[in-house]
Amino acid sequence: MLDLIITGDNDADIFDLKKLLKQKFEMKDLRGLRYFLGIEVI
Amino acid sequence: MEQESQLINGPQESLISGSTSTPWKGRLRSLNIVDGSFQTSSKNPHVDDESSDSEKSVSEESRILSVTTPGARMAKKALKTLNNNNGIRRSTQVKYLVQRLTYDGFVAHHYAYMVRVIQEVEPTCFEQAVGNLKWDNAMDEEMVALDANVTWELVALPKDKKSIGCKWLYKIKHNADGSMSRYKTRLVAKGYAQTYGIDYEETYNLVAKMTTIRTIIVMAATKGWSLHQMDVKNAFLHGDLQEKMYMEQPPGYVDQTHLNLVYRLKKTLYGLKQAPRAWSDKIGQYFVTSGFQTFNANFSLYVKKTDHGIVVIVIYVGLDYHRR
Repeated sequence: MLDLIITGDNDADIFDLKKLLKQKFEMKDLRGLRYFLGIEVI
Repeated sequence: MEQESQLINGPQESLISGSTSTPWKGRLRSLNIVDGSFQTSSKNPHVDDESSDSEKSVSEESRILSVTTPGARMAKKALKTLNNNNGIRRSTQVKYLVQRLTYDGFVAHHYAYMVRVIQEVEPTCFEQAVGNLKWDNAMDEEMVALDANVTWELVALPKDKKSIGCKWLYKIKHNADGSMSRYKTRLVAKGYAQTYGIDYEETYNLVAKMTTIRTIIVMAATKGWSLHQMDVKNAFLHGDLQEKMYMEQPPGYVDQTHLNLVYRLKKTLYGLKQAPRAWSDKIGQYFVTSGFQTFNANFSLYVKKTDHGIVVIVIYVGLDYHRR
């Protein structure tokens, strides 16, 4: 199990990174952060 | 009534071949047949005794052949697909639960409820799951995925080495609305049999600190950054194994021509003590090579400054056996 939070001030960079991770590690994009280790993001 | 039968049968597939007004009737009939095969099997009490595999499957098949009912035909078909399932041979004896159980005493209404309940049972071991086509297919899928991932190679076990066992885990995955999503199986190594210094050395894994996660979330909130979350399918299977490790061939998937061979693991498998660490090493290396900065105080944090701005990543690697 691996969870990843990505944030930053440039959405284009984040998008590029997510694309790379998807290719390299078969990652699944959970889109916006909702729950992470018991924290709920409202 | 219509709605009720929907509830009983579930959205995934209908058990009933015939009418929809009396949903349990079709099942009842097939269970009566099952009862018949139950009697047949009780006439032959030595069927389940320990004997060689080939003998067993022959007796099993002939017994099913002798009862020529739709239920028996289905069982025979299941057995056939079991025996030649895309080249992978199963050796373990097939035990059908229906040979030992009867639900005749139930009122029709409760009966339908029971069918719904027992249909959802997750097997706890290979012997329970084998013979059920859904689990068989799920196990085949897992084996194909493991082979494609180059997780292992078949080798002879060196004299001074020991191999560890492995087992299957079964889980029915549900959608958020409670409907069945899929049948999932996972092959796990019996990591508890590993010996320190031989099979594993470093197991310490770096876990994201809660304060780090909170700080990042707060920072993103105050700066108005967008937060994204990703997770990895079969995360541990990507980790490279440093140690030479040997594992027995999985139950049901023993290569009949190479009975004495074992698998030498090349990639980590669920259950191995070093699996989480191997995986976080790997992804950490990837981030470093793609220009991310790490911190001595916070191993789970990766930061990259670009011309346009900044990207922050927090990783969390945890144990996950079906999240039981």
